[in-house]
Parts: sequence; C-alpha cells; structure tokens
Amino acid sequence: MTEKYTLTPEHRAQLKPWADKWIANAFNTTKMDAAEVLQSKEHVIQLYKAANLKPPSIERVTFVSSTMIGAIVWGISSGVTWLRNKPERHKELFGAELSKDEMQHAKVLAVEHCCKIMFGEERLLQVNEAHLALSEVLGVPEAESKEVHKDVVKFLVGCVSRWSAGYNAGKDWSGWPAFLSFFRHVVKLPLDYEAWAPYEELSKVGPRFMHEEFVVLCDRQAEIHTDPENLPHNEFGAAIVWRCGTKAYYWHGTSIPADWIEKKSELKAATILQDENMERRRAGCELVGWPAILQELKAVSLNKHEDPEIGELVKVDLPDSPNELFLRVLEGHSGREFAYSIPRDLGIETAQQAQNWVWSMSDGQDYAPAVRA
Amino acid sequence: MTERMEVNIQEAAHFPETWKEEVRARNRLGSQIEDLVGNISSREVQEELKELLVNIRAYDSDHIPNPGTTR
Repeated sequence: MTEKYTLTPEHRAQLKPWADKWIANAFNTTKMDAAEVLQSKEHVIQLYKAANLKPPSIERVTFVSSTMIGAIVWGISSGVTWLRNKPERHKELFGAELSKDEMQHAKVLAVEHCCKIMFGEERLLQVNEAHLALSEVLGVPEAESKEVHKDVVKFLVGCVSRWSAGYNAGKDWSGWPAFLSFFRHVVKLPLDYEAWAPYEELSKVGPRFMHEEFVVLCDRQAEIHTDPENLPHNEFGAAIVWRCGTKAYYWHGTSIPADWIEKKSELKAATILQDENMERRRAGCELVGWPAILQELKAVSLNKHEDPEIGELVKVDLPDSPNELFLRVLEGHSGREFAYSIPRDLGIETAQQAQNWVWSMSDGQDYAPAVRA
Repeated sequence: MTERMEVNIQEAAHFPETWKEEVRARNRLGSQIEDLVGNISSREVQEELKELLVNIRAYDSDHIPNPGTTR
C-alpha cells in the first residue's frame, strides 16, 4: 500500500500565503478585459467537454456586466428555450400555442419587469444590455406581437427567480478551490487534474450561469469593502457595488437599508429599534452609536448590573409604543454593544432577569456569560 | 402562480447537467486527495485554511438581490 502524504513543515509554511492569495482572489474587483473574457469562454467550453457533454457554440457563451443582468438573461433564456422546445405544453399553460412573436413580446416585457425591480426608473442601459445578451444567446429577435398572455411573462419572470439553479459564483466561492488547488500546486499530488483545471480557472473570474444550450458569464463586482474580519462592511457607502449599478450595504456582514448609510444624519433611533430583525437593530445601533440612541430616546435606566455582559435594563418611549424595555449588553468576545427587546408583560425588573429570559434559563438559575461559553 | 406553472418553471430553469458534473468533478477530486493524504494532514490543511480564509465564504448568493420577484 502506498504511504500516505503527511503535511511537511515546508508545505505548512505555504498555507498562509496560499490563503492570502485566495482571499485576494475573492475580493478581486478588476474589470474583465476582452482577453480574459475570451479565455473564460474557452474554459467554459472545456467544462462541458470534461463532463462528456456537448458544449454550446462559443457564440452562445455571452458576457454581461453583473450577476443581476446574468440572472435576468439566464432565467429568460432558459424559459424561452424551454417554450421553443416544448410547444405541446403551451396550450396546457396558456390556453393556446404561442407564436414566435408572442414569445418575443413576452421576453421584452419580462426584461422590463425584472430591470424595473432591480434598477428602478433609470434602467435604459441595463435593459439594452439584457436584450443584447439575449439576442446572442437566443438569436436575433423576431417581430413583436402587440399582445401577449400575461401568464407567459409571469412564466419567464418565474424562471428568473430560479437563477440560483444555474449559478456558480466563480471567484466568490474561493474557499473550496483554495483547498483542492493547494494539493495540486503546493503539495503536487500525482492526480489527473484535467476535469478540475477549467473549474479552477473559472474560480478566478466572475460568476457564471450554465445551461445545456448556452452560458452567461458575468464580470466581477466593481467594489468590495470589508472589515478586518473580511465581512462586507462600509461606513461611508455601499459595501458591494456591481458594474450594473446595483449596490448592497453592510455593517460588519449584516445587510442594512441603503438609507441607513446614505442618509445617516437623518436616521432616527426609533426607525432602527422598530426594525423586525435583531441583527439589523444591532447594526443600526452600532452605526449611530448607543450613546446617541439612548440620548435621542431619553432612555431611563431601570437597573444596571455590575457586569456589562449582563448589561443594563432601560425603558424608552418609542413614537408609537411607550414604555418599551431594552437590555443593553456588551458582547464580551467582540467588544460590541447591542440591545435586546424585552417583553413588557413578564414583570422583568432587572438586567439579570432580562438575561435569564433571553437565554431561557430555567430552575431559577441565573444566566452568566460563562454559562453561554 | 398555479402549481402547474411552478412545476413547469422548475423544469425550464433547472440545474443543468454541467452544473451537476462540476459538483461531481469537485467531489471526485476531493475523494482522490483524501485517498492520497493521511486523515490528520487532510484535516489539518482543511482546518488551517478555513481559519486563514477568514469569512470569505460569506460572499455567497445571499448577497445577490433577486431580480425575478413578481412584486
């Protein structure tokens, strides 16, 4: 039996630089140029060949500026391809067989709908980009019909909603490629990497959407901002910006509304504390700062425990809800402050009782941070 | 949306064979590596890399707004 490989000190020393390389890969925001796009299209074709599947022609491997445009193009193209291949299902679904121009009209309306959802009123560029990519994947559009059954549009939009079925995040899924490629490039295990090689190459570029008959490749994000823990985070703007203009806002990995950052000076404590999501409440309170929150709400301290990890029970009057109770707590391991909403009808009078309720302590036991640890 | 419509949408916008093959190729390579690498070393590399690759798994599809809603 062959002796198994054991991690050597030389290889162990390569783990940190290897991880750094893949972290940099995950956060790479370099725009893909024509050469890189062409190379990626060839890698996509190799993926099909490695799987013993017939690849689409390279003309039907299209490239778009962002994942969102990719989702729209992949979903609608999947739907139209299926409708073209299954005319016998049209009657069952829509009452009659669809003509080519009816499908074309439905496609136009579906693009409009999805782009309006994503990009709002300023969507002309994105609509045009989606149509251009669709014509590459599906062929030159036919003449438009004036009317179409609204269910056909619903069907195509429904296909877009299932975008994750064809999705691979490319460089955004750097974790597993980092592990497998370590054994290929650092350890140099004697294995056949032919089927893996195109996958590894495509782990360095933007996401892709696969289909039997076509592929949609997407560019990398334009910006990614993180905190030292690599979580998406930006105090002054969007944490992730895609090249189609889509922006996502994060506070230490927690998704927050754009206005909380873009209109921070107008952000009210009541807006934050009435948010239904506890993580978002915590993020919002950190964003504005607890002293500011409590000052704005004129919080009254009801009970303060000597251990800040047990916290302070405070009473605040929210605009539509007076006498709300909150437990203000310091999280020991992160040093971050956050607040729990405490029900008023449980007779809770101390920070300790509030903690006991939060952690569902039973048998008269008091919660202590060590218990949680 | 009717159940019939949902079923057909799932059939139209499905996990393609290439997608499934990619997963198979990845898993196959993972198994081949496991065959050549001692359990302890494999676990060590996996755990150390996971630790070093702080949170990059956070960049998942959860971050992507869905353009296919009917609202």
